[in-house]
Amino acid sequence: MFFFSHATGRGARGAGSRATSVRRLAGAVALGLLTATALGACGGRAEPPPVKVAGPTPELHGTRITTPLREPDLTLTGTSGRPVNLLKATEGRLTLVYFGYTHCPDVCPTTMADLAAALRKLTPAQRARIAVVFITTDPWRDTPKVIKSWLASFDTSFIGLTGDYAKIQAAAKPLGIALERPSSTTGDYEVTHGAEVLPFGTDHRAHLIYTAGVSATDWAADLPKLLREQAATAKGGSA
Amino acid sequence: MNRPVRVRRTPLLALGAAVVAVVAALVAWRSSAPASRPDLRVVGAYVPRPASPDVAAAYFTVVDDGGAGDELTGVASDVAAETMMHRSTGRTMEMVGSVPIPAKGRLVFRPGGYHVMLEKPVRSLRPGDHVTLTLRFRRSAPITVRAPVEPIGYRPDGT
Repeated sequence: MFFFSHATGRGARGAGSRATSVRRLAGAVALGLLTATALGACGGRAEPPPVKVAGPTPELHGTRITTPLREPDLTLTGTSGRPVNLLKATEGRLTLVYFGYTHCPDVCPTTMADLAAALRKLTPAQRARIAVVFITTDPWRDTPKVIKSWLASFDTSFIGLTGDYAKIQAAAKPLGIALERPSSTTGDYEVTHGAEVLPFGTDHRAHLIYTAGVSATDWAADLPKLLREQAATAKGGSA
Repeated sequence: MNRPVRVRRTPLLALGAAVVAVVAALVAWRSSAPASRPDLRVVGAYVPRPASPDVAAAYFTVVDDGGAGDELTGVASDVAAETMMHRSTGRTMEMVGSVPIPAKGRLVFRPGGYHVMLEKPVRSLRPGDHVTLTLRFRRSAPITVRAPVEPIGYRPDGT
């Protein structure tokens, strides 16, 4: 979607402010059951199924969801130009998945920079148990080479994936992340995408979502807890 | 304050006292400026080192000490022919034509909120470089600031 027209911009505002209020609410105590699916509100079509938010997590900066999200069995092209399967490439690690694009000026680099800064605060042992995956929503410009160079600005260990747009969109949809195909993919254009980070455990399920704007400090506080939670689940605890 | 006897002794001090008096008068004049006027300054401007060679973002705070608000109507830069003011929301980004600045308040451009997109920077931006930003307003005269390029992920203190 283009945001060069004011009409479009206003359309986008509805989705955004709802997202913002979701974030605010998540921090509040009195969050009941709410549907966090502002996700396609600016497009109107291809609205993903609602993601049921169970409520704020007292110990974490994410939002607990009632039905865990399944990590997609998605094979795309990695930054080396070879096929990479999301599940296999991140097997046994807590996997933070983010959909974005490199021509995004603000939220995408901010999210990547905050995650990279958070990982630098962890011990090498903790760090080794976490994978960060950036899946482009702009495969037209984000070639493996472009993504590799962009990710290297944050952390060379981050995994970058590109490929067929329809495939990426289809993988994002059940995760409640709405992607909108730009009306034009020549010249300068912007790409609308959900800005959540999804932490998939070793069970390949995400039990909570993180909306944009979680600071490096908050991530650094949460990641060890997510690792502990994941270890407990792996030992036979139920999700 | 200076004692009269010392002022007489050294002309330099007298000059200093005069400067102080002028500054005090100016401050007094400023504070007694008509309440219906914005009084803007731009603080904390910076550009994080861009991860993409094709796009950068600029952030700053506009403080209005005046009794009337103003509007930021655009930001030009020496490193980009095209700039755009955006507001990021949870999931998307919208272009904004102007942004209000409250009287006796501030307008903050920060990561995840308002930002100026600098399209296709004409040179690579590295920490230590500076970018010139010229902010245009509805009522006040334009303000030009030199924004340092900061490391990726940089956040100004206290925000």
